[in-house]
Amino acid sequence: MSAVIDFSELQLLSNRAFARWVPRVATNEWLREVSGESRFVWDLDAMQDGFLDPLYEIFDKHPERWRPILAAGLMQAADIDAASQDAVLAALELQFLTSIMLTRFRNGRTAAEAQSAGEIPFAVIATVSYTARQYAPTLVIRHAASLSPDAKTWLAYRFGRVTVQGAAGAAYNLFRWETKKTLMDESSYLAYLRYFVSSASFVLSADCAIAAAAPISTFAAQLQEASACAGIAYHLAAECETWRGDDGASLEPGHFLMGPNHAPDRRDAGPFDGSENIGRWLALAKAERDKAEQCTQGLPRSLQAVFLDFLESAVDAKLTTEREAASAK
Amino acid sequence: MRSEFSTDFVRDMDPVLGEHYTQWLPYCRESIAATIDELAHPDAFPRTLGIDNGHVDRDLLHSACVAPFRSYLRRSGKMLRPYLVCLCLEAYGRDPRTRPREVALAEIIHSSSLILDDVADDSTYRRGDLTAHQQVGMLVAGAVGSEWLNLGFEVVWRDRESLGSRITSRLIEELAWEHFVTGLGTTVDCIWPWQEKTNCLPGEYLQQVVHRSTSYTYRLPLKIGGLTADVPESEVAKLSAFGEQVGLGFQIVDDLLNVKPADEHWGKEVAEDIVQGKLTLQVILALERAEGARRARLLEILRSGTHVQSELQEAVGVLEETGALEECRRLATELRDGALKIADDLGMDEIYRRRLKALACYVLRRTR
Repeated sequence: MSAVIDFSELQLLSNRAFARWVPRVATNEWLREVSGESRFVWDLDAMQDGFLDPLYEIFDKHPERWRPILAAGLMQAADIDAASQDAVLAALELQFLTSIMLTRFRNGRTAAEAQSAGEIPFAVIATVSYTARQYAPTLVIRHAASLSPDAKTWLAYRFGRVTVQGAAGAAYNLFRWETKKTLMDESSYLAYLRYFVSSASFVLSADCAIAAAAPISTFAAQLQEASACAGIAYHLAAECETWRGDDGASLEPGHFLMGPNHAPDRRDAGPFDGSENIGRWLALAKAERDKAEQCTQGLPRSLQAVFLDFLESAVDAKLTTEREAASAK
Repeated sequence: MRSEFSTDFVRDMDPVLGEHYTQWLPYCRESIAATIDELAHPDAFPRTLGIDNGHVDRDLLHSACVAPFRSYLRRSGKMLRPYLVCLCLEAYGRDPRTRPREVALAEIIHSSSLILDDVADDSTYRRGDLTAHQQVGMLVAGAVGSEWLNLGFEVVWRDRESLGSRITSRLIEELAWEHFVTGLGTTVDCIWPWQEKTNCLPGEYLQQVVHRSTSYTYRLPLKIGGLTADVPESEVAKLSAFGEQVGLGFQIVDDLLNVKPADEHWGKEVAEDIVQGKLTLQVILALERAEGARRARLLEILRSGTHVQSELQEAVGVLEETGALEECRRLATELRDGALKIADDLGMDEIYRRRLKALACYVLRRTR
């Protein structure tokens, strides 16, 4: 049981916030609230099949809600009622879900090729990802009633900026492989995660707390840096799961510095292959985790306690799981 | 079928619009070039992305993230959207030359949306040249479209001091909302062919058009112009309504031209919408009206993905026989008339109202 953050409660709060703004069932009332009066008539079935169902498929597969939990925990540490920030928390989770949505598709294919039989078409998934991603800043600037006008503007801008970074990173990484067919070195990969991979970051969680609680803004740079390092640590640890797969299985695009159309078998993956590399990856993750902890020095006690509790429950727990799994193998 | 894009469309415009447009076109190009350079020059781009210069291959970053976008700007687009921002600013007493970023913003968003449209439709050509995803792959092109679309927030943010808090906030709000609702409309657009729906309502098509395409065609540029000029919200709402009405008409005419181009300068595959099995208004109406073998044949062609022109023309024949094309022309005319009424009520000098009305008329009779 956590000493500072009630993770179960904040997970429930995050789920409720998401359901408030992204209902499982499409209704005219929801569409009216978020997109305005219908001028003609909405095809609700299309909204259900083409937006909400694919979104909930991925929402249910990833139940952790780390990002809204961290934001809500930091808000509570600053005496802000996190429940009043439901639109912000929903936006955070939307941003995360969309960042992992397109990973199953590989580049250099036509739309028709980019799907298996029976799967939702690439165009639909791409549209869900696009729409959900754009919904996030809309939620912030239109529906985050508890934020000040300037805070809403800044936070919506930050959501847009993360989308730019994530999109530019995807283009850069895919294009780099297509043209150079070389792997990134370790430091380039860490920089890539830091600047380009929004799913490997908790910075937006810090931003949401900063927007909601003016006093936190004094410590914005520290919190953002700690969140960036914690996100990279978590991401690196999570990548070890891929390493632990069967020897003959293909690596997924975006994992382990591989190219999108040429993801090789693990045994052919070059210098990063092998269990010793899992150890290396976990060491890198630990180093980032320690940097995150270091960044919390000087934060007010309540903020520091929340962040360290999060670090322990999210990042350390993941690192422990992966260490144990690597040892067992 | 590939064809070269031409810029002689100005001849289709009333001179009151065409001359003003021609006058502002060089400035539009200048503003766009300057804004893109400011954001995306190889020396500046990492900073735009918030990246420490030492950590990325700048040339590669530029080739991946900037070059495909620039290639769309080089294709002699009409630049109508930045022009509309200029028109609004001038109409409300502001000098467009003081707002180059907001002028450029409209074209940045438009070109980004074209890249994404081409990905969604898996189109081969745009303005007579290969689409971005044909050049750099589906995911790279999709990412580049999304990147540039969202760089719009950065453009506005850079002007926040001169715009002031309220206008900055309103511009960011409208960018976010327009991008989102465009996604909702696009959802309907791409779900219909996937589910092979055949019983869609004309109203459902028009609703998705209101969201999917009226934003980037005219509604958003007019809002950018009105908001940047700091006009009252009631005036912004009128500009938005005008843009939506014209945008609806634009899409219906676009659908008509897609199956029956007016000349050889169309620049896309003829009847590409039928190749993609799209349920446009004319197809929905034809499916409502056609019976038996003709209806079945139309559905068969729509679902076949054929590129064979004789088969595509057979489908176009069904659209004509059922009166669907004529009905669409009638509706486009109604929408234009609605736009003219809205324009009458705008709080700007008569000459600017005339220009906007000329735009509504041009959209209806355009040939490309």
